[in-house]
Amino acid sequence: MNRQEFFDELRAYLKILQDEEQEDILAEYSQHIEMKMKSGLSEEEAIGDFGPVKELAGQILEAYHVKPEYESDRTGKSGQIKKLSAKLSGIWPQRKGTEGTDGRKQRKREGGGDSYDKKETLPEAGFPEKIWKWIRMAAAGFGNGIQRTLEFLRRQFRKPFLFIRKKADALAVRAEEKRAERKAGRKQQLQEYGELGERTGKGRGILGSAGSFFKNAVRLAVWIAAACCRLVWNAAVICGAGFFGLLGLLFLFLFGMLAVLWIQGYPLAGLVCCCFGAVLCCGSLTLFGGTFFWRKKRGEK
Amino acid sequence: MNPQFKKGVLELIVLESVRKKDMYGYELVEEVSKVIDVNEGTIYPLLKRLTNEHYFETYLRESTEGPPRKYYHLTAAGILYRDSLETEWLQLKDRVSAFLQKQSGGEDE
Repeated sequence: MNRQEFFDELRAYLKILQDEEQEDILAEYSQHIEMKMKSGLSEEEAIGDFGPVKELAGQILEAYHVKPEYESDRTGKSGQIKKLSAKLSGIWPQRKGTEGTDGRKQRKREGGGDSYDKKETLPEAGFPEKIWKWIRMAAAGFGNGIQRTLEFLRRQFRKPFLFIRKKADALAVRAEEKRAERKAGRKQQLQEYGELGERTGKGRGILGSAGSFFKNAVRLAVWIAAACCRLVWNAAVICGAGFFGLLGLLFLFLFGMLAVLWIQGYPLAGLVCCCFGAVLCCGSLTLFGGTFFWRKKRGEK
Repeated sequence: MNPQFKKGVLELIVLESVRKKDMYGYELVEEVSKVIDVNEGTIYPLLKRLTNEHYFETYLRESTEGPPRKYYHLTAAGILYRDSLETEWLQLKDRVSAFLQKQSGGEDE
């Protein structure tokens, strides 16, 4: 058998594979035969070393998980060929866009001339585009949802804090108003009662002032409590942001180291991904805490 | 040699050869032939299968003596698979040797 016969026979058995794949295999074998011939063998001997062509083809097809019975059906039903080539195009997804759709388009154009049944045209024609659209829509919706929940949470977090502040301010305002009222009231009383009234007014004044002083003290206490809460909350947010910032830097360093090791060949792909995720988590938590801090500053100004 | 024996260890030998150095088909056949007697009909389909299962990566490298050659390179998954094969082989070797020693009179050393 000479080289051309060998390749033709092998190609016939490997017809089910994509053309690129067939040529790739044959090119490699051709090179091998060349090198064997250079080292002294004749072409016949070099080809003989491959063994019987049918067996060789069977073993090659095994690598693609093709059914062994396919061989006998080689000249038979077109439906089987279509199903098998569809399965194979699934193994090599990067070639699907170029070979697969073009092949299908050609078949459609051939019309009634060929033996392929029109009903059997593969349903995956628009499928990858549909899937991609769906993925994009889902991602957009997801991103929107996340944004909205973040804003909602932020508002919730600031609600009690703002509420306390509002209450403290309201109390302070009311305290001032009442103080002003009392002052005005006391002045009136003094003027009305004259000297005698002075004594009673003083007495009432003392009692009144004691009472109002007590009430003012309570209001002051509430305001101090509110201020303490504010201080604690601020400290917590700053500490949290700082902590997560440092943690994020640590994870970034770890991520760099693992990535270098992974590139060198150690099986660390999973750890690298985890580290990267940790970096993103810490970074986002830091920014989350940071927004409270910055917004608050802007709010106070 | 018993073909079943050869078939059993062929994968391990191929994986180990490529681990030491990236090789192309012809070179690999020569390398493996130093250990056990195989022909191209067995090696090339095996290389194709291991590549499809992502234990090997292939790339083309220019050569001075003709068209570019397809080199095989062991992936991380390939390294793990090779290690598991080596462990199994060593276990098998120990157990079979122990069994044979027992059969031939059972002298423990």
